[in-house]
Amino acid sequence: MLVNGLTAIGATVLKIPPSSVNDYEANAYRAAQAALLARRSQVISCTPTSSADATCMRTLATRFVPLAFRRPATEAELTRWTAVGVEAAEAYDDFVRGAEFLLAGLLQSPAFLYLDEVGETDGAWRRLTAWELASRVSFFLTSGPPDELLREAAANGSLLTDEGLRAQAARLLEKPEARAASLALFDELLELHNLDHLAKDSARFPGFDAQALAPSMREETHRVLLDLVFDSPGDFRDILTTRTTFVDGPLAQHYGMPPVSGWTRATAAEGRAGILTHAAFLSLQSHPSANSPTYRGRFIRERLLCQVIPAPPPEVDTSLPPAAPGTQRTLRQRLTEKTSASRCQGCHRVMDPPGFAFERFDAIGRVQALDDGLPIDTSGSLDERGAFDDAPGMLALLREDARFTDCLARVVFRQAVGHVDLPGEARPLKAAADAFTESGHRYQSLLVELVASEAFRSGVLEDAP
Amino acid sequence: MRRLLLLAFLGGCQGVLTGPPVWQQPPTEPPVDPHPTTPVTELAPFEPAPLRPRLLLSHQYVNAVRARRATCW
Amino acid sequence: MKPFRLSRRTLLRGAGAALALPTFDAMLDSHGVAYADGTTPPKRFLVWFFGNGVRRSLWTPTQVGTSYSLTPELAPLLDEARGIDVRGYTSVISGFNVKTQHLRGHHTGACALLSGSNIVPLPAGSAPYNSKFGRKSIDQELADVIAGDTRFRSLQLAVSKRWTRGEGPTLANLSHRGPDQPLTQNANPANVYNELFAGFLPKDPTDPRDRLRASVLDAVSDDARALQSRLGAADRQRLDAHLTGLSELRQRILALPPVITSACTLPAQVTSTNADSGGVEPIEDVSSIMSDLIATAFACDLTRVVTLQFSGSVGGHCFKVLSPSEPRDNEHAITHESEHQAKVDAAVRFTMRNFAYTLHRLRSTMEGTAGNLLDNSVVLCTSDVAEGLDHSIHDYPVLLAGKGGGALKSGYHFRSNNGRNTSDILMTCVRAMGAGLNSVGQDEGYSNTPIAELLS
Repeated sequence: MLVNGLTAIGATVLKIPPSSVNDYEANAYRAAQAALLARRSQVISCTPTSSADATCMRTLATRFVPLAFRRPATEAELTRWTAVGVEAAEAYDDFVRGAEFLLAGLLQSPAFLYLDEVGETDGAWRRLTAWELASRVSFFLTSGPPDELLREAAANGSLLTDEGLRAQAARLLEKPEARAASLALFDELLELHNLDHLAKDSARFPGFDAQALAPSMREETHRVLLDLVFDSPGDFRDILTTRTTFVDGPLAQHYGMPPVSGWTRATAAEGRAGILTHAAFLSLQSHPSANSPTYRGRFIRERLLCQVIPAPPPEVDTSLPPAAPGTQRTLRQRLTEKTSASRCQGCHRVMDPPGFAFERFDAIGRVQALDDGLPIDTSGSLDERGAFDDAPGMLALLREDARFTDCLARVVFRQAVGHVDLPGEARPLKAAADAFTESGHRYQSLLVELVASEAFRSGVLEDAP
Repeated sequence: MRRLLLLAFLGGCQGVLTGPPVWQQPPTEPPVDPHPTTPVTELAPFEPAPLRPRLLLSHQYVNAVRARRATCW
Repeated sequence: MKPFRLSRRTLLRGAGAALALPTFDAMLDSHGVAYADGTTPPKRFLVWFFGNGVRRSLWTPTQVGTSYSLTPELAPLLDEARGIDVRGYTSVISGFNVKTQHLRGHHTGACALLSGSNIVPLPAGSAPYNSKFGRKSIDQELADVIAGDTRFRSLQLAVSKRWTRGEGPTLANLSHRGPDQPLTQNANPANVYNELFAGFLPKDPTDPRDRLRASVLDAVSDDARALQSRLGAADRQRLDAHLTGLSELRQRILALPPVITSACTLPAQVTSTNADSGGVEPIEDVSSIMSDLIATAFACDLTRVVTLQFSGSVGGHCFKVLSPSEPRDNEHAITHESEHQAKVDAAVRFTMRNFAYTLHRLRSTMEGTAGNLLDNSVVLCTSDVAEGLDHSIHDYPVLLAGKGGGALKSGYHFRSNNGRNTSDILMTCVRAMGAGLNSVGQDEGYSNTPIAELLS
């Protein structure tokens, strides 16, 4: 559940609904049964001397409780879970059934389901234990539990050193899982999951099948991100300006590019620059039949610059009237007139100018030459950062804007730790952003710097019992 | 502290913390975040955030179950 | 609908195997017909919610009292072609205002009408529109009192899948066990069917599976308590919620199969998963299946509290069926287009057509001699704004249907001429349900004054 735009924050502040407890239970039995069907001899590594052999069951518990809980087991846990396995094995007169209930139980345990971090006292603060840190790093960078090497580093304490931690983070980033883990954040940051429900007005865009093209739109943005982060690592700010992209047949047709078969690296047409000129972003931050400079500009303010834009005032008709009959008006002209009142201007003069830069793209991300038969004005200025003529110009200013790199560090950190960064964390986050800058804006460096920062490794316990 | 003041200002703009909502009294300048130009050494000393248990996200959960099945179980 | 058959022996075996008997078992007469002995069936509460408001000029009847005429948007309550007439079961409530602070469009109304509280804006992060409820929602307040030992303390269902998920719990969920515990609605009828009726399968007393599942849950609960003991107060409560979920699941596993009566029969297997077809949601089909499932869940006393989200606040749902060959934006976008308000009107009529079917379905399920399900229910039907165009929250559209076991007057138009608090409507639900709560809501949304004119 998204809170503050991130499921990682929802997962930290919300209580789970009872329906999730049901789902976890059902999944746990399915997973345990599947494992015992496919890999019975690996799972049951000892030879039970009877159908309810408690010694062999304890051997299983000793191996699997630490794996599932991602830390050493307590004696109470080993006793508890061995008993569960033995009880089931006795009831069925079948050791394998006992193992099934043992494994299915571990997969429902809060010790498995939660990243539980209480740390250990370190002066006024608490520092994550090596095992807690291993899980935090692993789930942040690879969306999965610690692998064997990371568990070793936790067990021998090397993970608690700065070099050890950085080395493990760098190693994890080379795993294939790191790619999907990075995309999980961008899906939420760019709201790409909303492409699942993309709907456009068929009368305004005849022949456009949103559901058919949406997966390609998402894939294009994914590929550009993966290319810049993993395959040919470069200055991450180029996501805002690069004309390098990837298209498949339907997307090439949509963009009016020469036909391709399968996914192909391509150069976007002049006038496009980076992922904010992809069909995905342009379609998502639009209405079903019309552009929304406000949505597009608001996105830049909120999500890329970490600025706060208030909700529109209540009891106000926010609809945009069409041009009077017999007159021609661009969307920009109509929006500017509609929001000219001072009570609208406080926010709209902040949101709309960067949004107007995209007006040469329509609500499904194609180029539009004219708007209502009139030439389109995409010029403006980005605060005191300078004036621009069009989207590439605005995005070039954004690329150089320190607020963008600063905000990026903060948003990635939120994903890593599951809370909106607090004022007390500004210092280490700024230090990580500075190190990111010094690295030549390598995104992987940002990830490693965040992992190595004090803010990632420390915490406090509030009103603990 | 400057960041706190900024947050308070923006929060007030939102009608949440203090002050009138923005549509009654629009700010005269667009929001400016002073943070990027503030050197690290001028920022307040680090204060860690509360540690709270975090439920695995759905893809993390799937990967955790899959990892157990694939590599261990 | 086919009656679900269980042999007498299966029933007896099941009864011998387990724990507490369902409370109404003793109410059966020798023919297995519920409530034939004149005992009172339980009261049920249904929230039937739709997104983005109505057009009041086409919604609100001009006459008050029992002789109000159906307006264009309420016309589907009497639909002779479909054999539906639930007008006499439906009261219209108008002229009421949301009294909580209007902090943001859609959020304020949804939270006020479902909980009587102010929204709690969440820290901005990069998504400043986020908020959560200030208090438990009304369906959960009532479930605390009336759920008894039903198999499901409450059910959360949805028809359109396209509700908004990016603005925090307030708009993403109807039911909230508390500000930090939104309950997820299920929009997949096949899943709902399986969850509801898995318990109908006769249990094999020689299979220890359910007993062992319960043992596993005990061990899981021990782990939860061990973790809990190390946490701060807020997180101890989160683990409490987890423990409650475990304990409710344990009870369900060990519960007896429902008692089969003339009203409680197993519906035919539902296979619809609510998948889009050509980019269009099967809204009306899913709405009617969900209505069937609600009726059976009530009739079998599997639950007494249901929330159904027909369409979400700010949702991306599109009633394409209304203009198959014409352009049509999603319904939320349409509400904000002043020149397209006729399309809003059509959407509201379509919504009411589906609402009328739900009521009809409850009405046509008899409970022995104790009337029908709608006689024994209270149904609250409302939205997140009065009108979508301007996010207004005054003169709010609310319908209250059902007779609440005789406690609620129906077929009445009650209009407040002095802008009464919408929370008074929630308080009316509380009284009609016979729940012993003295008040609802808090702060500006507080009410302890039901609408006396609607209570018998």
